[in-house]
Amino acid sequence: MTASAEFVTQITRVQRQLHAFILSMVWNATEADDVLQQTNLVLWEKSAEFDASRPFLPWAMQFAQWQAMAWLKSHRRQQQRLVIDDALAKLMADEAVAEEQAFEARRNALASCLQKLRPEQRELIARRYEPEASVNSLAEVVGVTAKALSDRLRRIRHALLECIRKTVAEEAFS
Amino acid sequence: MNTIDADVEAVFNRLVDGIASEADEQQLGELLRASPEARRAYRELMSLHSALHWDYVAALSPKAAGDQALKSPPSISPPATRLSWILAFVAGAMVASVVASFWPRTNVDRASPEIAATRQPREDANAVPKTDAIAALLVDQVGAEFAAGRGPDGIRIGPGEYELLKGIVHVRFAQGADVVIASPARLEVRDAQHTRLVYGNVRVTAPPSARGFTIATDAADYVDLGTEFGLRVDPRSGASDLYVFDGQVNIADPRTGKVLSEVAEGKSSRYVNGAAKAVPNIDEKAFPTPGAIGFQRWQEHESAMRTDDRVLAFFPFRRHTDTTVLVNNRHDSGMAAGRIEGAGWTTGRWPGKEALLFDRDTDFVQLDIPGEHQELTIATWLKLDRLDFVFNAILNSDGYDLGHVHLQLTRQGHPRGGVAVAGPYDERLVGSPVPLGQWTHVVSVLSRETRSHRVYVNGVLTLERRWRTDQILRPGSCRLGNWLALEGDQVANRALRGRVDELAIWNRNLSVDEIKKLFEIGRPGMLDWFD
Repeated sequence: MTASAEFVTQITRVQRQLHAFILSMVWNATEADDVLQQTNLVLWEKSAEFDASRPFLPWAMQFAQWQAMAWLKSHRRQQQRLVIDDALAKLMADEAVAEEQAFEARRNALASCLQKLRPEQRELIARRYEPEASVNSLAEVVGVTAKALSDRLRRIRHALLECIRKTVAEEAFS
Repeated sequence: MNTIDADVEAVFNRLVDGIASEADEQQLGELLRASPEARRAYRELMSLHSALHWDYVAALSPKAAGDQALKSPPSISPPATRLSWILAFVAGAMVASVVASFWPRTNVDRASPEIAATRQPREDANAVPKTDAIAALLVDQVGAEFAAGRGPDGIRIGPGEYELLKGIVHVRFAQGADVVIASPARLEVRDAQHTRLVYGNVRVTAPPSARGFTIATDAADYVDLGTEFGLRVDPRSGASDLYVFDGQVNIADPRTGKVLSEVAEGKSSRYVNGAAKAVPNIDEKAFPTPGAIGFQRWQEHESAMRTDDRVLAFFPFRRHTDTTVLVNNRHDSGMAAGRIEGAGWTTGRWPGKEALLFDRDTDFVQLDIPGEHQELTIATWLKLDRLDFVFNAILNSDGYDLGHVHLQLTRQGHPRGGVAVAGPYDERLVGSPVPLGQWTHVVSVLSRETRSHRVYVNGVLTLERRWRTDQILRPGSCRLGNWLALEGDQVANRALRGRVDELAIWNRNLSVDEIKKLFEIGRPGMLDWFD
């Protein structure tokens, strides 16, 4: 057992990035939680093999990539496997690792961008992301089609992404 | 996302909202393969989706949901919860490996061959390690023995049958549910959220992440709605008795899944073959807590210390009817009981365990460690409130004569001390200070032969002092929690501020392995230490 406090610090630090990557593979947030959990377990088991002089995220990301692929192969129908194969998964993992710094900056910007939304937009986001919420059930409550609701959410997400982009760009020059 | 068009953006959004068509998915694959810009946009959207899922919704919810009286779910806060349960499981895994390293010394060595034979060899490392099969981890245990072929694989608990013959085990399921199982018990683990209890007593504590954690029995199914409950299945009658300590549990028909009743905190129920019966009296003590495992492990240690010839003194810190007496469990070692001056009895490392609180300058325990010694080891558990002085005494000989023994902490919490010698000494600090507010194990190891003093904090070497002149060890009359100062000493007040629970003294040097083992035995909670 070589897992140390340092290892826990590292594994804690990369949780969000691993989750974002896994989510881009498995698409469902709750299922991404599960895959992340399995990834954590593997990371812990492999902690002895980690070379502390090297960056942590690339090392951790490859396990996230393998776990997510393994999950796709065992849980998903044929279609999704065709959409994301090993080569694409590796490409996406490599690109995610390369953006480690930007990821943090963007995450920090999100907090202020959320405050800039109109109240009804914030409310819709809150309801969409509350535990166990789904667009289908939420659409029923709101009284619109799922597609229409997804379209509303798309506009809010678009606004958030634009705001994040601006905030990060401004910070880069300040 | 201004580099991709609105149609592509719509595809991505339908995907994250779970309403994408097969054509959408097909198109996604093509887009991602063909275009770095599409991959960037996709990555940014997924990062946003992930962050909203993890972080920000709880912060928004009260304001957003308040005005229009929305149908809001029970107060579950995703950010803290999600991160903490994921980390708690990692911590659990780390703790489990500590248990695993501890386990062979306490159990498998003594286990019958067929029990040992159930431990399967590890599979070779593949590109993707096989972890699908892990539903839970064994994070703590005391005296556990499983039936042949019905035990965990090391600390791993996969789907399958388990039969606990002896002891108590604490199992943490992958979605966060903690289950403490008291023997005899038999269960079938299906996955991280579903287990069948054939018979036995279990206590379940489930955080919001494990909502829906279900224990099935022949009589009924028990669905946890974020709570703490005890469940007992009688091996003969098959009756299932439930006691809800906190929150709510739904009892469902095992065949149809229909909710038969909802049991709220403080209430109990009995089911036999899917039918409610008269509510039994349930004794909460029948369902051990995770902390009870640690306490029981320590109590076994306490008994063993009674008969260990090499122990000069073992003060378990159990309150005596005469509250001014600190009882030494080693009656025949020549070391008398301690005399408590001022320090008051308070709670110790576990519920039901006492400690002494040193809170005023006049609080201490007077002890006598008679004789001359070649070697000494002094071990104690303490929880500091503050470090008020230049030196803060743990155990010091009265005054300062050659051969006297000191163990104290500096204002920064670093151990300091040794034996009073003629001539110089060299000191090397190599470890971390003793933290405030946490139960901490401090061990002092003194040797005439090697002319050295070593202090271990939570099993790790922290301080080493070496001297050059020969000096026998003569601790004599000592104070725990203060120092009877030499007249005119500049730092006369060395009062301890905090609790002490356990003091043991050996007239030999314990090995590092022995010290680590003491730490494992006496730590208050396996998980608290990491949480």
